[in-house]
Amino acid sequence: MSRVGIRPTIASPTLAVFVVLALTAIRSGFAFVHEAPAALSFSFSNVARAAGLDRMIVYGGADANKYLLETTGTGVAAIDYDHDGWLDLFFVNGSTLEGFPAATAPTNHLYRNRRDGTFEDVTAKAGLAASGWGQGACVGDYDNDGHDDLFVSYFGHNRLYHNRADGTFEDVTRSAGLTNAGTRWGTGCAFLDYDRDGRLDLFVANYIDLDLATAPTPESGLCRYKGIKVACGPPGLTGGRNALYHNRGNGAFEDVSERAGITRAKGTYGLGVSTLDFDNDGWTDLYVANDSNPSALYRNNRDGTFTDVGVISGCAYSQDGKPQAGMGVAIGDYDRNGTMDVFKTNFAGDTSTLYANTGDGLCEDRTFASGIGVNTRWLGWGTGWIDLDNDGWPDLFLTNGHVYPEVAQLKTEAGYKQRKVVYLNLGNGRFSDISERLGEPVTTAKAGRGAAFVDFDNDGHVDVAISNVNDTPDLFRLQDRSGHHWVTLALVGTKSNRNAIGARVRSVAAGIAHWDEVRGGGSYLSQNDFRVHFGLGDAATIERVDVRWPNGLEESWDGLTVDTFHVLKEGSGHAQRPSR
Amino acid sequence: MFRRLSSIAVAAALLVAGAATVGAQTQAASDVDAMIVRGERLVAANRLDEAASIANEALARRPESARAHYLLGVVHERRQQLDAAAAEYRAAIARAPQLAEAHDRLGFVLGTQGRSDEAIAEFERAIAIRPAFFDAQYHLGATLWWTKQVDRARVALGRAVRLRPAHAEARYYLAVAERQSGDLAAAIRDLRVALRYAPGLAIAHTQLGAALQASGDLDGAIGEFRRALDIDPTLSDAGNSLGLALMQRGDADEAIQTLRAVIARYPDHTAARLNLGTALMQKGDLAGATAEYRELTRRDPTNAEGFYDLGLALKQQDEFDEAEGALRTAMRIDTALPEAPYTLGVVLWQTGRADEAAALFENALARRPRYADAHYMLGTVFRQQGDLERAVAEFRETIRINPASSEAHTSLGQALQAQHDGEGSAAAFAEAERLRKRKADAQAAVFAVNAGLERLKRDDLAAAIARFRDAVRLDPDSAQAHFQLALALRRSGALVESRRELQAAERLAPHLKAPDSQP
Repeated sequence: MSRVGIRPTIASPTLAVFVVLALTAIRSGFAFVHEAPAALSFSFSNVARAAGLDRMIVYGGADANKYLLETTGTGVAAIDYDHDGWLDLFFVNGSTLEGFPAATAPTNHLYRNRRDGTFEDVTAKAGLAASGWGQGACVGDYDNDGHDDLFVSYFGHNRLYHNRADGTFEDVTRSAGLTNAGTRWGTGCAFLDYDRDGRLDLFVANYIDLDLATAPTPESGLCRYKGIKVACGPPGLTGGRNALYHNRGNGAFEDVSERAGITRAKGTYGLGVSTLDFDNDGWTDLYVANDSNPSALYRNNRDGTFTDVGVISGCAYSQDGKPQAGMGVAIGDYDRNGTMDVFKTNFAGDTSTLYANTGDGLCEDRTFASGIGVNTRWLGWGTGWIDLDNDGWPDLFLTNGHVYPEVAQLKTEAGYKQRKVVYLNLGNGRFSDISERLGEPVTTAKAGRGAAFVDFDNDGHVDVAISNVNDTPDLFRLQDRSGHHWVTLALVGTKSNRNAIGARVRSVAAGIAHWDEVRGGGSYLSQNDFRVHFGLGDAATIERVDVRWPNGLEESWDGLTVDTFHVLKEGSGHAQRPSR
Repeated sequence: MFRRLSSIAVAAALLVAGAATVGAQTQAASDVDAMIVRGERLVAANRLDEAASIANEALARRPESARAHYLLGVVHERRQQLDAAAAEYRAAIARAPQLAEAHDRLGFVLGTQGRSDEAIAEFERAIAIRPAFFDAQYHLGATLWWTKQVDRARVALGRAVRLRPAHAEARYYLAVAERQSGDLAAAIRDLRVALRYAPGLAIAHTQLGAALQASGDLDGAIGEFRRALDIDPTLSDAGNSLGLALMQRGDADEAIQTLRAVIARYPDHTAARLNLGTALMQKGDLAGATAEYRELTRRDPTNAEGFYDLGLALKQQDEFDEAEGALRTAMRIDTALPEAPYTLGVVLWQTGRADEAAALFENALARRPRYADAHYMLGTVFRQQGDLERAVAEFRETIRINPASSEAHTSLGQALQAQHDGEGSAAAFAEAERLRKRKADAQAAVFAVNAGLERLKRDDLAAAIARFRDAVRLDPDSAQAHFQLALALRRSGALVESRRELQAAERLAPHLKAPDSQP
């Protein structure tokens, strides 16, 4: 990342060669956004232990890693598996190179929401006690039976679990045609209905075609971070190829990756995945945060194919044209202009990236102009837009933690375990880092990875479930005393896919419009709450809610009450004039 | 330098001068000559007062004696009475214009006084009188080198070395000139020869280390720097160079230790402290690096590079105000330093002060017009500001200076696309992709070589060759890939192909030589 300035002193006169750092290595800036002196109206508390989220997430060596496989951690999925209106939590678990005796291997964990702030571990009962190098998870009712199914990506072989609607799941990977011929490193995933046939298809990013037999190890001395020997890659290793599986409607999927143009992406090393409708044409697109490569923006061509327009749309590189080490991705309309903006977390020594969607098919990098350039020390993973005080301006939450546990040896490195970063949206295009003001648990250092944004206690404030490496999970419960109003909308597709993934929602309250979508995937290897949450500020009434369903139907609801949840069923609203 | 050379040559020159003028002398003169011979012996024995008495007595008896003036000049020179020495040498030359030794010593004294042009002229006069006069050739070469006339120095030192092949110091200076003129192979060869004649010549080990380092032989360089320090632990330059080489090899801890040792002995060794700061930065010890840069700038408040590095270190710790201050100080101290306004521009751009940043990039370009990074960043700011025409111009200039900049091609493509130049943007994106892939392939080649070596350890020669071939395919410019493939092919008996690969490796990295053992 930087060229070393060497200053030989032999053979005078000495010629000094100055250090010229690569731009990505010298990202930082002035905190030009002055923080509001007033006390914050909101705070987080970590209720994980009290809530019963107490099982270890095992992932690689605790102090040193041999392969990159041991570094990436796992995701979290918010899933209402028992369809009771209370979001349950599924934490993916990993393994170690040494492995475990059969009966003691760590497994994924499904925690059922008891609706009282606590959870019950129902993993075994639900038939989800699988072990291995689990990675990410995404949720989708792929057979439209009203019960959410679950996909879990692995280094090895992915798994599709069908929800039997009785509190148990069945591993249907084989019958669904989702088995791999060989080992693949599946990472981020998302259900989406890319062909608008009303059935959820499946996208899976693949990180590296990692062959442990030939991949160099730290002992080779080839791979160092600040002088320390570390796990090698991903540069130098063969990148994985992303996959798209078309839902045939008979419980089986077909790999259409080649035909759909998915494998012709410019970059590789895919990690975080989210659906979005970037060009607002009603057809679901995909964004993939690629590590050390230009990220991918798969534009849906409306004919069953995609084109990676990340580079030409300016959504793939840093502002100065460099590939970044993308990890997690958050989609939201932070500037309330009706377009879906992209936020991406990256490696340490670099900033995260904020791409504003200009509405004409282009991204405008506003990282520095927005004030997000002030942080370069943290290595970001899970991330999401979350309206912390329900003021109607989506804020940002980042989970951090270094890739290499070996950095603990370094003196002033930000550390392997790192605190979260929270940016408050000031409503003028700028953000303020309020992490320190929030204090614990935001400032508590953890080796964080995946994060799902979910209102687990249905209090109108979106909470954060976090997967930590070699640690127990966190559950950050958000409390807000601002008195701001909110509304949460649960969309149910009838002709469209039942989860309404791809639906676009506009709410108008006190004359102010807010936009959001129902999305598959998101954050880092995680699945967020499908429900669309809007902070409404002081607006006590909602004039109108418009929904454009994934199949194109546009309808509206008027006079919805605030500070509560509404179920919007496709076809139950009133027709609206088609817009866009 | 002149101090180093003087002790070697003065006594010898004295005796030669004496011998050269023995000849047509009268009986009276022979008494004076005998006195001078005695004086020369006293000089050789460092009995300078007695030698001076004799020289003065000889001059009293025969004021026109060039040899007596010369002897007195040598005495003065030994006493560091340079003006007096020069006067006596001039007096000798006035009386014997063909006294080559007097010209040489006068040149030497003038050189010591910093009057290099006059010194060079005197050495050339000495050589014109006697072309085979080693001392004059050597002194001329060394003085030319000192005054940065490297090519001319190389010629003169080459003649000196031909006159005295075993003269280690002359060969040392020749090698230094060769290295500076880019002829690393010749420099390495001559330094090795010099060290054969003078194994204890520590500075030659240091120079050999530097030459090996420049040729890519990092391990060899480290070995030579260590030898230099074994001989003379006070050699700060060897210590500094060893620290650098260790840093480059990734041995940051030992590098830091080595550089700290240099600084402990020489607290004002600027280069060592700057390098220590860099080593600490590499280790992520930003606070440690900052402390070193602060100490450096405290000791030397005029050191622009120290302030520049301090600015970098502070910025990486998000100490923005101080970083800006340090970088502005660096800019003020060294008005020719382009990196300071450039880096400050990057800081301001990244913190949303794009207008100020653009002015700083232009400032950097005023200081160094062919500064590719500054052109690039200026283009980036222009693009951000919507001034696509100027952005395109800056990106094109970046590419003209540095065609391998994939990011410049990417940014050019984006700017052209915004200008609706579909064809131009497609070409730029394609070139960016090609460059990016080449970089990725080069990294993959490194891993493939490693995988091949691992296969060799398991005696799987065929698999190793396959991996080395992969590496060559991925990066045809990888010397290591060709080299390892050559060695593996030789083991497999494919000698013709092995030789071909070895030649390819040697073309890319001349220091790579196949072990002598046959398959």
